[in-house]
Amino acid sequence: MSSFVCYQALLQIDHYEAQEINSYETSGKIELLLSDLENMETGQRGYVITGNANFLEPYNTALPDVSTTFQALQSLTASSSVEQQNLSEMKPLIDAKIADLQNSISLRTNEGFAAAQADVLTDKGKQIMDSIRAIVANMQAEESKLLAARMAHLTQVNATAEQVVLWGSLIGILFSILVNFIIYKFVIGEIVEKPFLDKEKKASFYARSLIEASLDPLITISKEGKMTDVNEAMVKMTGVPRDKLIGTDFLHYFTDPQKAREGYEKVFSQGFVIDYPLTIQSATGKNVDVLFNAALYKDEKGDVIGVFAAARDYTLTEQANEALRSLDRAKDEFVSIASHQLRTPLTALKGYTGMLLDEDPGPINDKQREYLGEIKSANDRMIELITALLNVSRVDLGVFTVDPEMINLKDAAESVLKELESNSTAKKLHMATDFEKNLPLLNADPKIIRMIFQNLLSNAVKYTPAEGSISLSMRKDNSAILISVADTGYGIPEDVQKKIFTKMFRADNARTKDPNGTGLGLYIIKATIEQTGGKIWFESKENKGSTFYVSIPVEGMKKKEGSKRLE
Amino acid sequence: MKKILIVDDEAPILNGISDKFTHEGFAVVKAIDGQDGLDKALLEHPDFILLDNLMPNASGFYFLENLRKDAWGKSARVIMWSNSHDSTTIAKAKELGALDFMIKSDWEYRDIVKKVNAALEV
Repeated sequence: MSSFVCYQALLQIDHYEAQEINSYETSGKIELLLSDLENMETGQRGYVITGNANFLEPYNTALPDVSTTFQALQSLTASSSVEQQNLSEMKPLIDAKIADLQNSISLRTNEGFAAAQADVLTDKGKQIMDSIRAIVANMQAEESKLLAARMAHLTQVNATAEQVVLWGSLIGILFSILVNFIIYKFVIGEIVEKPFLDKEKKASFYARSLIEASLDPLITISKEGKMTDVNEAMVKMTGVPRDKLIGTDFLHYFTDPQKAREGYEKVFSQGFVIDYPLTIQSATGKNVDVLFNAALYKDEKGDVIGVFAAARDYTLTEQANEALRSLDRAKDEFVSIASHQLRTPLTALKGYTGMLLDEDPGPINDKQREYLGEIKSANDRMIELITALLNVSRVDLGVFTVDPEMINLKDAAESVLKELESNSTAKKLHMATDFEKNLPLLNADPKIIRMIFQNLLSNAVKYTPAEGSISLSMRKDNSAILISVADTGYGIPEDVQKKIFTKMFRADNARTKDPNGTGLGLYIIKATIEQTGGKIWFESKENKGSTFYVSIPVEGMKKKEGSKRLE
Repeated sequence: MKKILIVDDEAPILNGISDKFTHEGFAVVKAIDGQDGLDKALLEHPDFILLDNLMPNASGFYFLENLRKDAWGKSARVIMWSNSHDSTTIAKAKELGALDFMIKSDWEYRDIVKKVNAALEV
C-alpha cells in the first residue's frame, strides 16, 4: 500500500516538476517575444531617422522569431486557459504592431522622411506596444501564480508520501518497516529526491541563465528596500560588484532616490509599474536613463517577498527622439525659408499683374484682360498652396501660436461672407445666416476662427451647384458654441467620408468640380480645432449636400506659445 | 503731395510698388536696405514709410530701432511688410511702433495704397 502511494507520489512529482520547468520556459519565451518586438522597433526607428537600410538588421532578424516564439508560447501554455486568453488578445496586437512598423518603413522608402515621421508621430505604435506590455505583465503574473501553485503541490505531494510511509511503518511488521525503510531510503531518497533535486537544479540553472543573459539590469528587492539579487547587467550599469550591491538599499543607486522610492511604493499599491523613468547613478560617474518595469514578487503561498524589477536603458531611444526633434526643427526652418523665398517672386508677379489689370500703364483689351486674369488666378493658387503647406508643417509639428482675444463671431463670419460674395453671386447661390441673439463674445485666436469660416464657407460655395443654398448658423449649445455650415451641394460619397479629413485627400466628385484644390484645408482646420480644444464633424449625402459642424468650448481657446503663426 | 519712403531689397518689388504709389499721386523715395532707408528717412522726413524686414546689410528692425532714436523719427508712421513673419517678428515690429505688419503676398498693391491712405487720414 505504502509502495503504491509512493509510486503515485513519484508520478505526481514528475508531473509538477515538468510544469515547473514549463513555467520557467514560458516566462523566458514571454521576455523573448517582447525583446524581439523591441528589437524590431529599434530597427524601424534607425531606418526612419537615417534612411540607411543597415539599420533594419535587428528588424529583419527579429521578424521571423516573433512568430516562432508566439507558437512556442501557445504550445507551452496549452493547459492554461488564462494564458491562452492572454495570447489570443495579444495576437491581433502583434499583427497590428508589425503592420504599423512595416507601414512606416515603407513610407520612409517610398515617400521619404516626412511621411514616415508623421506616421510615427501618430503615437499608435507606442499605444500598441503599451497594450502588449500590459498583456506581458499579466502573463508573467499568471506564470508566477502558476509556479507558486505548482511548488505548493509539490510540497504537499512530498508530505503525503512521507506520511504514508510513516504510518505504514508504525503498523507493519519489522519486515515491512525494513521494506518501507528501503523504499524510503533508496526509492524516495535515491530515485525520487535525487532526480527531483537534479531537475530543480536544472530549472534553477535555466532560470539563472535567462536572468544573466538579459542585457537589461534585473533586480529583486526585499520589502525593506534592500536588493536581494542582481544580474550582471546591473553590476555593469552601476559599476558596483554584485556582493556589494546585494543587501544594500536600492535607492542609493539613483540620482533621484525620492522618485525611486515613489516608484517602488507604486509597485506595492498597484502591483506593478510600467516604463517608470529613473536615472541609475554609476560608481564610474556615468548616469544612465532607464525605464523600470516591475512587479510584486511572491512566495509559493502567495505572500509578497518583495519586488522584481527590470530596467531598460533608453539613452539610445532618447538620442533617437532628440534627433527626430532636431530634424523637426530643421524641417520647420526649411519650410519657413522656402516659403519666404517662393513668395518673393510670386509677390512681384501679383503686383505687376494687378497693376496691368488696373490699367496703370494704359488701357488693355479684353483678350489681354482674360490672359492676365489667368496669370493672376494661377499665381494666387500658388500662394495659397505655399500657405497651406506652411500651415500643415506647423500643425503637424504643433509649433503654431494660439493668441486668443475676445472676438465677435458674427463679425468674423460676416467678413468672410463678404469676401465670398462675388463668387456666390456669380453662381446665384442663396446665402442665409442664422445667428443666435446675444451670442457671447468668444476668447479665441481671430486667425484660426477666420480660417475655419473661410475654409468651410469657401468649400460650400465651391461644391454647391448654381442656384443652390448655403446657410451658416451659430448658437450656444450647453458649454460650447456650435457653428454649422449647411449646403445643398454635391455631397461627400459615403465610401470616402472617413477619409475626408486626411491630408491631401480629395473625393473624386470634388476633384471633378474643382481640379485646383489642395486637399489640405479640412486637414488643417481639423488639426487646429482639435489642438485648441474644439471638435469638427459632418453629415453628408451625395448629391443632397453636406453640413459641417464646429464646436468650440465657451471658455474659448487657451493661449499657446509657439514659434510660428498660422496663416 | 504726400511723400512715401519704400524700403525693400528686392528690385522687382521695390520698383513695382513704387510705380503704383507714383501712379496714385505720391512722391516716392526708394531705398534698398535698412541703412539706406534710415539715411533717406532722416533727410527727407517722408509722410509714410513702407518697410521690408529681411534685407542684407541692415534689416528693417535695424532701421526701426535707429529711427525711433531720432526726435522726428520716433513718431514717424511705418507699416512693415514682409513675407517672413513668425510671431516674434510681428511682436517686435509692434513693439517698435509699426502701425501694422502685412504679409506681402496676401496684398494687392491697390489695397496697400488704400491702407496707407487710410493711415494718413488718421
